[in-house]
Amino acid sequence: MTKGYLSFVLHAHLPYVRHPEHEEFLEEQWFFEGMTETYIPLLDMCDGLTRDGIDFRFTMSLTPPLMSMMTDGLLQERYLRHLWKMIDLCNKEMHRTHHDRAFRPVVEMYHHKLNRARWIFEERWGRNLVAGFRHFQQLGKIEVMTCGATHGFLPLLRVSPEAIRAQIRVACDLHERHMGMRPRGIWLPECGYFPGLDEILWENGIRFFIADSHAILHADSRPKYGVYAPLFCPSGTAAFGRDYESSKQVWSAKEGYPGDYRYRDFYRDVGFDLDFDYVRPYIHPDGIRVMTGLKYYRITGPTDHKQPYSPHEGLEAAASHAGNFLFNRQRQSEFLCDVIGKPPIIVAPYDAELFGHWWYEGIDWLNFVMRKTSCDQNDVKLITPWEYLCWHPKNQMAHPSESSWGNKGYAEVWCNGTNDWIYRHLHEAAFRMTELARIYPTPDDNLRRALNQMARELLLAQSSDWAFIMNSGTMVEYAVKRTKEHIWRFTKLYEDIKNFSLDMNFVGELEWKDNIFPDIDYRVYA
Amino acid sequence: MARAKPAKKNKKAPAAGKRAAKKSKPAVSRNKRKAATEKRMTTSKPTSKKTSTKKRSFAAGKSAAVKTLEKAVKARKPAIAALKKAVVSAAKSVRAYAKGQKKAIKVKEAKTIEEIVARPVSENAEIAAGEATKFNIGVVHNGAAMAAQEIPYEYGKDRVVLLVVDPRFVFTYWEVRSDSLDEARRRLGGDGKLTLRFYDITSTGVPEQSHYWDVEVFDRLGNWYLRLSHPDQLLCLDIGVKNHAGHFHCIGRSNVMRLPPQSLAKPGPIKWMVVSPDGGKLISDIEEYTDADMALLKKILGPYFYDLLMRGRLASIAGSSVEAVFYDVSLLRGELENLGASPGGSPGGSPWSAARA
Repeated sequence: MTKGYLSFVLHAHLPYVRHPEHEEFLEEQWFFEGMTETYIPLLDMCDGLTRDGIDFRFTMSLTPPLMSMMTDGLLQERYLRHLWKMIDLCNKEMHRTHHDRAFRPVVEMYHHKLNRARWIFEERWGRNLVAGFRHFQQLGKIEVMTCGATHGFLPLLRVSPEAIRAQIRVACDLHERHMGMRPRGIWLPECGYFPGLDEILWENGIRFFIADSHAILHADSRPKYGVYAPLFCPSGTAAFGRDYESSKQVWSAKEGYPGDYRYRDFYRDVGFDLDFDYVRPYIHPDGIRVMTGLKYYRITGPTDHKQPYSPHEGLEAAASHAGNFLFNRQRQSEFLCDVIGKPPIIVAPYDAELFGHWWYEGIDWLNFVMRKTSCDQNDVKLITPWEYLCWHPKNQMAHPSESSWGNKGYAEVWCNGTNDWIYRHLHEAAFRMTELARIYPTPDDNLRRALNQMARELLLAQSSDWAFIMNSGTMVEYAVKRTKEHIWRFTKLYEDIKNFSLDMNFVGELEWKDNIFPDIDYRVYA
Repeated sequence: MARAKPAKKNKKAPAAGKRAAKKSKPAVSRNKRKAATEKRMTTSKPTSKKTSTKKRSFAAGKSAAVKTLEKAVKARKPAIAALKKAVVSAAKSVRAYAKGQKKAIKVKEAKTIEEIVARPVSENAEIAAGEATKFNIGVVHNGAAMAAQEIPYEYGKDRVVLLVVDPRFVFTYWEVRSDSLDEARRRLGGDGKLTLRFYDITSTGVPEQSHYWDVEVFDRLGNWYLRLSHPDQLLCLDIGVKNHAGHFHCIGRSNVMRLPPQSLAKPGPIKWMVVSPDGGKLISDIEEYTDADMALLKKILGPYFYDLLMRGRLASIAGSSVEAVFYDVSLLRGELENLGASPGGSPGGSPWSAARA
């Protein structure tokens, strides 16, 4: 008998980084690493589970910027080039470590995985991973959600309701274009929710969103079942709250699984460890050492003297942690089912990039959890929030409270002394966009292109990643320049339109550089 | 289970964490500090002064004992008695030092549950690394390949905007045109100062009939963080000019913001709603919130989370920094155990492990 439901939610997101004006661009590596270490292995996992007849479920958000990058021809080409380079490095490493018994197994592992990643990317999914996720959604195994159009942190943008509507509407349109259906769920950027947002979601056909625990526990009506049942907002949109216990076991750097000594170390990378001339062709062309993704050591312990990573031991640790995780969810479900008198839903949301990229064995762990949950017991059932709503259409009604999943639970990460200067400009740009959208409801072709490009620049400037990076203190320059660049481009277009001096060469250049949302209609701001 | 993070992380994380915590605290400019407000931000300082004084005195005691020993050796007296004395004295000093250390540490530690739950999260938290690592490619500085673009300094509008940072903290920025400022001053007789007037409109909904407080500011373009005494209030503000006589001329009014609540809602009826897969909605029934519901919630949450929730600490230590939640919970559990209370929870305070036991 089912005593509880477990809903894994993976949030896959990267900011839109695409620089056609440069042959190679450092930050595009964020995307390449995510592809090799997280998104491709996730699809590989789904393939394996389907092949073996495992009844698995999970929910994931593919944010519009990530979807756009995955389907962009230039980035697909560049990623393949990057992958071939890594395979080349791996081949050299196979030769170098031929007689090295300590490192040979890990090098062989990378050699196998990189070649497989190339095959999955190029041949299995024809360079378009979104097609892969769409495939598994059509099989009913995964539920793909959308997110804000460019992951703008909505509580801080709400002074312009049009800007909020545009973030949601543009995201839904792009999702439909690539997934073939409107999204039923949304991962609100940074889980940033404020009362009233649910109505905009409902207008766009979105039926549920994920919120942090305190959004539910601080709702305007006391939640009878805590975070173990969703709340319906008065609009009808459902809010699912995060379960702390399951989050802790995976997220926690101290007590969580990823800290196990047997797991691969994230920081030691051959891009820094090997001789400069040897790795030179595989790092940044300017000679900047960067991570290559080939990491040969295990965590080992609180020491600088790391031991070689053993893929076999890493896999064993993942299997044992999967068993532990499931055991804990079984006990948790038993207890909660007994107390509340119905099966609880345990929502376990994570950043997708935590798996594979940061916690290298994370996807193996997820794979083991899915298999064990499906085959080894009957207490806990995997479910998506949408399935839960179909089976349990009656839920408590309340307004969740304003919240986010950022440090301290609200907006401080995105609004503090390091990044608060951006809001003056983001808000003004949103007001200006609405102003022009209302002035020009039926423009000629050139003006329409310019206005659409303004909407793209505004959306790109609103990405919460820039404020997040400014707050984090590393790689800040890029985030600052990106924010300023989009605001500058937006402002120039605005002034050109106001002064009747539109420069179509400039518009064309921007369309080439910032080509996200090809079907955007600026009138969404009207 | 093994618990350490990679060594490099161990070395770097605390510093980075502190730095992040420091940076994440919204800065209040020097000018802003000058102006006294009735709802001024208050920060408690750690009681480290006492600790360091004690440490110094114990260290002095220890070194005195060592000096006595050295003296005895130098004087080459029939030394046994003196040496014995010195050794005993040194031992005493070391014991006293150890005792003092213990005391000193105790001074640092919070003594009550209230202190634990009131402790700022930045002292406890080691921020979970996950979210930031996707941007980590081993490079600290970047962006050199991009040209720096200039953005407008001002937009030529009279505007003031209010944003919520957390349940007790708001951020506002404003811009006032020079001619608007001159005009306002002229109307007030020339001596007016630029002022932010905050209104708590929770009960009235109308600024003109609400309690307000003023903050004098100096620049036409600026921003301000304001710490508030309680959450869940409705706020807005005006920017304007105020003269010595107290007359205020408004130049612009902000949007209205409701600060989020910080604790469990007051008991009230529970409404149930049915939403069918095709979008049909129906409020099916309404029931009273009873003591049994409260007991149920307590059971679901377990004693520690329940305690944090009731003290309004759940949200302020929540978010993706799950570390912080569990650090607080483990401290709380330790304190309860020391106080002889029955904790009844597993590591991390989950109620279901207690049930299993």
